[in-house]
Amino acid sequence: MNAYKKLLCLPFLILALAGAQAQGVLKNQQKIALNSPGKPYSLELNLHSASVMMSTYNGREIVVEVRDESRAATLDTAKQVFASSYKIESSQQNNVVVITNTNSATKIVMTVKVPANLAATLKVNVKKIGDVTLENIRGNIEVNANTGSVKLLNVAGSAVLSTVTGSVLCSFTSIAPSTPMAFSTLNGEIRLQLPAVAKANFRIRSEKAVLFTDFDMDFGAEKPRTTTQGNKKRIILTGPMNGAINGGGPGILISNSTGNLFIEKK
Amino acid sequence: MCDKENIVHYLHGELPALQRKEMESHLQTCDSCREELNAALKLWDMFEELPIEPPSANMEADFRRMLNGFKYEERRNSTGFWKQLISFRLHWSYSVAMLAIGLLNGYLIQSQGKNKDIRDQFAALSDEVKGMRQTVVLSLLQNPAATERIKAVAYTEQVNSSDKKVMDALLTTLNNDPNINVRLVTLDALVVFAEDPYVREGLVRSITQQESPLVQSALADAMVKLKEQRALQIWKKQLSEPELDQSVREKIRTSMQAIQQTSI
Repeated sequence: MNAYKKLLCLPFLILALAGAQAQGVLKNQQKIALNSPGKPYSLELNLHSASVMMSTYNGREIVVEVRDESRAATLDTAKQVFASSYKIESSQQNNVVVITNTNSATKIVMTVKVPANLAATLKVNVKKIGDVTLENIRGNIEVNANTGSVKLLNVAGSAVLSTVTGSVLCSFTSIAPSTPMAFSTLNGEIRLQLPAVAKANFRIRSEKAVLFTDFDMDFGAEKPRTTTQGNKKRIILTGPMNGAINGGGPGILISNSTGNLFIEKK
Repeated sequence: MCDKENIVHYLHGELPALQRKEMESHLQTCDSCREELNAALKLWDMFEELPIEPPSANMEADFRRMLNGFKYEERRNSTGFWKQLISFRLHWSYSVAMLAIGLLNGYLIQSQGKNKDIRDQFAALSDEVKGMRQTVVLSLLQNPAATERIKAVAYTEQVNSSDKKVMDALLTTLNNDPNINVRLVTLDALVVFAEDPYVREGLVRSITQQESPLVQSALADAMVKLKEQRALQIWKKQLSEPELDQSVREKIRTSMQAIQQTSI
């Protein structure tokens, strides 16, 4: 009976060993080569307290740099501290890269460089404190922050963003056709910049916000109070509203509790 | 000599000339075969009357993306014993569904012009279509991409609250989805069905399931809109919990007042 039990344990032990080998502990700077370079990939960051800066470069690998925020000013000394003390691990399977940080005590700064012009599925989750900034990224982007702002600059594709306390800014060079999107925060303004030809059906949930827009937004039967200044409109929202631009398209949720809303032509 | 199987081939124009002539002369003499032919024709007419849903403008793009997503998933799933096992189960269930539809069709064609039977089975077929829409929603809700899950929630506008499977899936999404925005969109979709007591209760129960201040305050809005008295008790308890977010606390207080005022 005992031998039998031991035998049962063996496959699990082998699995655990294999798993440990597949995972790597990140050093201060690490280059992660994709399983299939040049092919669409996924990158998921699951972090506790972290400021994340992600941008593109002319290379085929994902370059991750980590440092302690308190040492941010003196980068040189920070380089000597291995990221293992931040408990950051990375794993990859079939072009899906997952980077996780389990140390909740230290707030880190993470800089990520990803290959330019390569479609990606990106998920950034920051559980506690930290701003997330993504620049020039192309693909399907999800960001969940908590206390901190979310900024997407010159991105292409689609985005689903949320934070609790902090502003949300998202500027698109182009948007994925017929893909729904969502932008939400509790306390903070939301600024969305879309190509002038973008089609969308907005669902705007806000209590006492003012919406500024230079799009011609069709609110259907509802006629919210609007003042016009040049081609800019100032619309006072009194409750949830639905508005279409350019004849309507995929649904875009805009949701906040306090803070103004901006939907602008890029 | 009656060859009923050939009637179908005859209708499809698949018979060679000689057999075709034989069939035609046989049909003139054999009542039972003529009846069979008429029954099959009637069935075809009924299929003709099936309402054809106009494809939406995005259908082609949607389909392409779904196909690409599927290809991508397939590639990702191409290794791993368990994944293969799961996908085997999927193929297996597909086959069974196809077999069921095939059998149903065969049965319909065989039935001897009993109109009522055909109508019953026709209803079964339209249930099947409803079931397929349900399957699409349920499987899209499992998609790893938040945009796809949001899309699934948007599809549920076309179902009604009696579809308990879809309602359960929406309530599960509201309580468990890792993405806050997906939960917010789901909440909006569920409020539409809040006339249904089952959905309504699910919404009330969901209050204690939420940790995100965004969803908590959106649920508070929903409760005020529904004038839901049961929320008051739950909130009273929540207000006594010290870890409750400050802005949610305020939100709950004003929402309680709003509900109490409307109930007077």
